[in-house]
Amino acid sequence: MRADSTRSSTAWKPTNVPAQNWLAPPPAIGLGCSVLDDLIVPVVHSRLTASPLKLAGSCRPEHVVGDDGREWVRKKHVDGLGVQISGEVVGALLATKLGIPIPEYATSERPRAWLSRWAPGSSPWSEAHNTDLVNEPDLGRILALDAVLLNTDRSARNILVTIDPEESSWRVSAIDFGMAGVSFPARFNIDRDRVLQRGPLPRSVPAHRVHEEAIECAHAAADLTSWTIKQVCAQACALSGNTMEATMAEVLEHRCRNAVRFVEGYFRHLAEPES
Amino acid sequence: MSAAEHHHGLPKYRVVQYVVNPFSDFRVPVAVVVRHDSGETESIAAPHIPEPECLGNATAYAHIRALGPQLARLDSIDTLPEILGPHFTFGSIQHLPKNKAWRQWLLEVVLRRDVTASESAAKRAPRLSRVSRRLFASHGVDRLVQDNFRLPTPQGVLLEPVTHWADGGAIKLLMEPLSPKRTHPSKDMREAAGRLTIYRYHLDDAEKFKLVAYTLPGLEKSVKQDLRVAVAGIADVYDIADPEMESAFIKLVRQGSPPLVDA
Repeated sequence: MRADSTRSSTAWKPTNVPAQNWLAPPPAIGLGCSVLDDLIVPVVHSRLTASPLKLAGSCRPEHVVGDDGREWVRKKHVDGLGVQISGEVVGALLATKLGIPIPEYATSERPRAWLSRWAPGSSPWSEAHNTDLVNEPDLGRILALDAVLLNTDRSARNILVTIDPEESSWRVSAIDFGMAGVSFPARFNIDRDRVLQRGPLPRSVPAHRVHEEAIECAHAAADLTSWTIKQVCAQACALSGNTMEATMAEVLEHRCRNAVRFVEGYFRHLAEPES
Repeated sequence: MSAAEHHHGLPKYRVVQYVVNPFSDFRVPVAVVVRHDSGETESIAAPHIPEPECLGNATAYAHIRALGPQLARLDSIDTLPEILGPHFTFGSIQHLPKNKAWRQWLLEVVLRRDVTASESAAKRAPRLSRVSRRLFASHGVDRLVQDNFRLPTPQGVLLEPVTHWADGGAIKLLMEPLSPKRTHPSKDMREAAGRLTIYRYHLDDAEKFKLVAYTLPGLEKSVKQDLRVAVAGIADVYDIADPEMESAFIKLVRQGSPPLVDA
C-alpha cells in the first residue's frame, strides 16, 4: 500500500538537475492541486521491516523497507524522537513550500515514527563536496531555513550528498530538523529574536557563495501566509502531541516575517574567521 | 601454540565493504586497511570494482567510484570516517598470512573477490539444498520438493533463488533450510532471512505463497533465535529438532504439494 499522498514525485525538476525518486515532491502549484496537499504529512500504512544496516544518530534511526518496496529511514518515538517530530514536520513542510530539497517524508502509526525516504548512494557532507555540487544554490536555501527554525544541528551528517549515477555528480539535500528550536515552543518563544550561531556546520560549506540564494529564500519565507504557518504548526502538534500550537505558530510567524534579518545575521556569523 | 602466539608479530588488516543490498547482505570489498606492529596504518583501495551489471545497482557503482580517493586515504583500522556514510562497513579484524607477499596477496586474493569473504568457505561446506534433502528423503517427500525457486522482478532481474519449494497448485511453499553442518550458520541465517524478506516484497500475490524457514537438529540456539527475529512477520519458522514441529513441517510439505502422479 502506498502512502496516502496524491502528490507526484516526478512532476518537479530542480534547476538543471534530473529528478531523483527519493526526493520530496515540489510545492503543489496549478490546476488540480489542492493548497492543502503540500501541508499534509502522508501516512505509510504498509508493514515496515528493518534491515541490519547500521545508521548513526541519537534517535537510533533504522533502515526499513515497506511492503511496496520503498525504503525509508525510520525514527521511532520510543527511541527518543519524541517531541522532536514537531521540528521534523515543520522543517519538512516548510522545505517543501520553499522548494528546498529534502527526502520524501511520511509518518507511520504502528509504531509511531517519522519516515524519511532512504537515499541510495548518499554520504554525509565532506570537504570534497565544496566544489562539486550540481545544486549548490540549494545549500543557501537550507541554511536560510535553519536560520528561521533555529536549527542548531546542521552537522556534516545532516547535510546529505547523493550521487547521481547517470552524471556521476552530487546533489545536496537536508535531513533532520528534529533539534530545531521550533520543536520546543517554550524555548523557541524565549529565543524568538535569537540569531543562529554556526554550531556544528562544517567550515567547508561554502556559505559565502550561496548568500544570495539564502536571502531569496528568506524573502519567500517572509511571504508565507499566516494561514500556511498555522497549518504547518497544526500538523506538527497533531503528530507530536505538542500542546503549545499557538505559541509555536506565533513565534514561527514572527521569525518568518523577519527571516531576512535572521538569515543576514546567521551569514554574518558564518563569515567570521575561525577563532 | 595458541592463536595469539601464532599471530604474534603479524600485521592486522580489515576489509572495507560496500553494502550493496542491506536486505540480502550483499557486500563487495572496496578497500583494505592494514595496521603494522609499529602502529602505522595504510590503506589499499580495490583495483577493480564490479561493473554496475554485476552489482545490479548503478548507484552503488557510481558511489564506490566517487569515493575511491577517500578509500585510498583511510588511516584507522578501528573506525571508518563518517563522511563515507552507512553503506561502507568494516569486516572483522584479521591477521595477514605468514610468509606471503602480503600486499600482492591483498590485491590479488582479498580485493579481487567480487562477493563476500565467506564465499570460498561456503563452497567447501556441504550445499544447503543437499544437506536438507536427507530430511525430505527420510519422510518420503523428497520428490515433492524442488530446488531453487526463482522469481523475476518487474524490472526483469532474477532474484537470488529460494533453496527449496513445493508446488501445491493454489499455494506455493517456499522454504529456506539452516543446517549446523555448514561453515557459517549465522551467515546462512542472514542470507536466508534476506532472501525471504526480498521475496515477501516482490511476490505480487502474497496469498499464493507461504514462506517458511526450517532449522535442522544441532543448530545453535542463538542462530535459531536470531532467525525468528529476522523473519518475524515474514516467514514461519520450524525447528526440526522438535518432533512435533518436524511432523507439522512435513505435513505442510505434503499439503502444500500436489499428489505424486504415481501415488
